[in-house]
Amino acid sequence: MSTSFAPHSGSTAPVEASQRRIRVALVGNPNTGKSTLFNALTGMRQRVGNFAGVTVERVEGAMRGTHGERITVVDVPGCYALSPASPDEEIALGVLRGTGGEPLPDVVVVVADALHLERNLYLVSQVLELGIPTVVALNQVDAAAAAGVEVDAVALIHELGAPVVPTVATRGEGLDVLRKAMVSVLNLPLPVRPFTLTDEIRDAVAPLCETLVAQGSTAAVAAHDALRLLAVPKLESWYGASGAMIAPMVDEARIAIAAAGLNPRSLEAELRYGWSSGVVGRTVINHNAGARTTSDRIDAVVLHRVWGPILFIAVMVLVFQGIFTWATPAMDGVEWAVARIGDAVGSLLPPGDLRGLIVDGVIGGVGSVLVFLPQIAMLFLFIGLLEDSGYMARAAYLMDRLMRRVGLHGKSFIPMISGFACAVPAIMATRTIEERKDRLATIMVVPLMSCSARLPVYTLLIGAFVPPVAVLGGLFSLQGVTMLLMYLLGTVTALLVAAVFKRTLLRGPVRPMILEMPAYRLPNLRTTLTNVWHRAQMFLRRAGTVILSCSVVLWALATYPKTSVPSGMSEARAHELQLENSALGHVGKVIEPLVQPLGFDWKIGVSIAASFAAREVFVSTMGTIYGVGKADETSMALRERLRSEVNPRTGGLQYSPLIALSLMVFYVYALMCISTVAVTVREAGGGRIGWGWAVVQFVYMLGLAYFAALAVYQGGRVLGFQ
Amino acid sequence: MLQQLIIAAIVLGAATFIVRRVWAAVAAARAPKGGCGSGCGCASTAQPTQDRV
Repeated sequence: MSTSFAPHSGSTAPVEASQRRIRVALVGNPNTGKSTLFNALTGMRQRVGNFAGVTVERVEGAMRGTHGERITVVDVPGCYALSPASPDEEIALGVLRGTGGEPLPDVVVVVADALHLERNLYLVSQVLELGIPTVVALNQVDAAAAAGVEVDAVALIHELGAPVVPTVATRGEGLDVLRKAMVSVLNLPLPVRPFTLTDEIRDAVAPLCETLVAQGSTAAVAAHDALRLLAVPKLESWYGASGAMIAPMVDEARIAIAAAGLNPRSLEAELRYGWSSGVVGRTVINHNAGARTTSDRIDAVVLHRVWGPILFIAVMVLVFQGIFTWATPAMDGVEWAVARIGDAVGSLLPPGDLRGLIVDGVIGGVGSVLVFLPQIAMLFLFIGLLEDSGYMARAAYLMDRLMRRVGLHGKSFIPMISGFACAVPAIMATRTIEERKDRLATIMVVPLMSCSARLPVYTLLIGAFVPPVAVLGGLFSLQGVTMLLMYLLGTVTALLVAAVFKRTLLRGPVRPMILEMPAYRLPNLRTTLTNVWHRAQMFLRRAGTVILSCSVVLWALATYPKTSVPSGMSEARAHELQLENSALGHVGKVIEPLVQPLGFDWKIGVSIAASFAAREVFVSTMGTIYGVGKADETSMALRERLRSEVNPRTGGLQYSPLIALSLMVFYVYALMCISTVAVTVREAGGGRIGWGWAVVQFVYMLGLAYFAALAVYQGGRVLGFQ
Repeated sequence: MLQQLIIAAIVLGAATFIVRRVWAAVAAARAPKGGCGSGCGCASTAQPTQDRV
């Protein structure tokens, strides 16, 4: 225990309230609002969403109790029961049991969904048995009331023998009472199992309990584990090596229970659900029992066999159309502002290399990426609206049949969709998948989903080379459709690659998915906009750190060593000569033979190489390369430069739509993200195994990118495109 | 000369930052659990804030 006073003594602690340190674990079923409650209590901005599995790691926050107590709140992944079926549930169990270096919590707050109390009470009963002071936060009482469900909190307190606090975390209701309860519960008697066992069951598990106590468990934990272990097929997953030692005791208990006419495998579930059903019967009034809810009516369309997929495709088209069309005015505004800043700073600084560094390196490089901020914000706005409305879980349900066909678990869809934002949290989100092979297969393909860092690359090339003409009867623009096709290409390839992995290296059975459908709700505008703002901040931070640093270094490589230019040479040729003889030019010339078959020149080659630091660096590198030596010119948008760039040798245009398409396909597939490699190493098992999978992932994606771009470019040329 | 020194300092600082980033990513891969490493662009949104009363 981390408290500095004698806990549960029933008397006021002798220590100053402000000196008290209390550790509170926040647990509950998935999608009950734990993270929302955590944010409301601590003022932090942990990610929230209206679907199960948003939180996949433990996060700590600090708050003060009503008397100044220093409270550490630990938010853990949601779980339906205290059994480590998947990595995220292992984390939750580790926090509650104080294993893996975790200190035991002083208080547990179980967040229970008032609308689905019966199911939530299963976990509540398990937590109470652990003998740790427990408070039940009865959350979403507003949603329950709207659905005609009324919970008698006072009656529930008597049933559980623990404080129950009704809360609405999204609106901050009930939080003051909860804060008080977190401290005052320490002065209450410790909770106990809320139901009694028959003599037969108690006698059957008694020897097992004694063995567990002898191995170091407390009596309360042993009593809880004894019941749980009866249903656990692999004891090693719970007790490690000592699982083999207790196996004979567990078998004896199972035999004794079977002899009493009971099923030992389902005993715990029957006891807990029997109890929770009784509690709900005595404490909950459902005024609309059996009636169809609004969510049911919406689901009749959204999950329809025909209309559901059509609606899904329509939503996706709308999203990408919106990203391209609606963000354009804001993008033009940022572009204009960046150009004006470049001009202004250029006119203020004296001619020389320092002006070149600031205008070409910093403003030219970082500015060319900043232009895409509106699109990034628009993407996260759409993702936020889909998540918060409850549609994301429906999309996972719709995709389940397709996922199973390729051999993936339905739960893989949520991490894959999260990959549209960023592969790193998406790979971490695979922790919700129980089966290791399914999890690994998902980790291997998640980076194929086009993340937000690819958006600037797509937007730059589409904006430069795809005309904004209307297609499909004038409903859509060709630019938006091209963008959608790039995302679809990544998604379809991810499914195909997953099918290959599941039939070769990761062969295994496909298990059915059980997915909880959250109720539909109007997206919380504040939550959504906060998330968009937060993502925009992260993008700006990236622009101000990684992209800025890369731009500065690449500017130096493109500027030095200096080349003496013969007099009379045209400015364009002189610029080209300087670039070719610079350090960057020499590196580019080494890379060029490798990328030339894909239609790329050395400038694209070095931009690709530089983008291993971050994909957006491709854009900033191109911005820097095309800015070097031109600081005295009026700034021109990068896409216009690319469109009009003339090859000084041939006199023709340097780039074409075919080259742009080849480059986009390369970026759809290439794993150009060091952070993704790092997280794959860790989540795939760490050590040699983790590195092995990361190498497989990197090599297959790079190979796929190279040969797909090669096929596009060479195939296009065969068909007569330039 | 001063201008060259300033440029050298800026470029050196930027290069050092990139090397540190790469090192941090490798260290994150070795870490047994938690977070995605600092500055990966999608890092956990949970940064400790001051105590809430």
